[in-house]
Amino acid sequence: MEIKTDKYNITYDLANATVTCKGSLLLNGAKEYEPILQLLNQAAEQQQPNSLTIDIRELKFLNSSGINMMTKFVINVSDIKSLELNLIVIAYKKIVWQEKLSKNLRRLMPTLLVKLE
Amino acid sequence: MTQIFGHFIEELPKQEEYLTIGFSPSSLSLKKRWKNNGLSADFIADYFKMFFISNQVDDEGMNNSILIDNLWNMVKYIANELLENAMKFQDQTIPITAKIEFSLYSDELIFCITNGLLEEKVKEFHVFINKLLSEETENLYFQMMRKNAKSDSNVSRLGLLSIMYDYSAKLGWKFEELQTTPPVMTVNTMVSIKLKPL
Repeated sequence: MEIKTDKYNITYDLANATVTCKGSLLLNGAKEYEPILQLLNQAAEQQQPNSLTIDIRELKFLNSSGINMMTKFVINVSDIKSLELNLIVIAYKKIVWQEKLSKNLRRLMPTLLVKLE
Repeated sequence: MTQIFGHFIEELPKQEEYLTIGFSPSSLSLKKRWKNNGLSADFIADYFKMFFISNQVDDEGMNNSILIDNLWNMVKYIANELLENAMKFQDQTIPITAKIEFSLYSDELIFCITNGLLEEKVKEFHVFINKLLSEETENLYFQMMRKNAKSDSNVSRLGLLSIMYDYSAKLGWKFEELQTTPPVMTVNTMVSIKLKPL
C-alpha cells in the first residue's frame, strides 16, 4: 500500500511490517492527513499481535498537523483501540525534531520502542 | 484599542539583518496559498543560513554541520507554522497585507507575523492565548494531543504549543484595531528564540 505524491511518499510493506515515510509533509489540517492516518491504522490492525515499524528517517519535514496525525495514531493504538502491538519508531538521532517527536510519542505510549540511529 | 499578551516587544532593537515578506489579500484559494507557506518558510530558513550562520562559521564548517541543518529546520518549522496560522485567519474580505518579519540578532531570532482577523474570531483567540500563558506548557501540549485523538476537528492547536515546548520559544501577541472604515482587527504574533553561539 502506498500514498505517493511529488512531495512525499508513504509506503506500507506488509511482509516487513514497516511503514516508511519520506519527503516533506506540509498538509493542511487533519482532513488532508486522513488518508495517511488510515494507512497507519490499517497497518496496525493487520500487524497485531506482532510488531509494526514506522520509519521516519527519510522524512525531511513535518508540520504541526502532521505531528497531530502521528500522535492521534499512537493514542489510537495504545488507548482507544488498545491493540496488542509492538510499535517501533526508527529515527535519526542527529535530526533534533525526529528525536523530539519520537520521545513525545513514547510519552504517549510508554511501550513504544524508539530506535535512534 | 491595543491589547498586548505575553512576551511582545513593541520597539525591537535595531537589527543588522531583517527580512519582511508581504502577502496581499487575494482571491486565491486557501489550497493555492497553502503551497506558498512552505516556499516562504524555505526562503526564510535559507536567508537565516546565509546571513546568520555564515557569519559565525567558516566555509568548511558550513559543509558538514548537523547543527546547521537542525537550526535551518527549526527556522523553517516556526516560519511555516506562523504562516499557516496567518493564512487560516486571513480572509480576502479583510483589506490587510499579511506580513512576516524575521529579525536576526547575534544571540536571538525574532519572528513577527501580522495578519487580519475577523471580529468574531478575536474572543476565541484571547481564550486560547490565556490558556497558553497561564497553564504549564508541557501538560497543555500532551493534554491537547489526547483531546485531539478523540476529536474530528480539522484544527489541532499544536503549532504554537510545539514552538513553545519543542523549541523553548517565548511568545507574545499584540491586537490592534485599525481606524479604517470599517475598522479592521489585526494580530501580531511574536516568537523569540535565544541562540547559543555556534
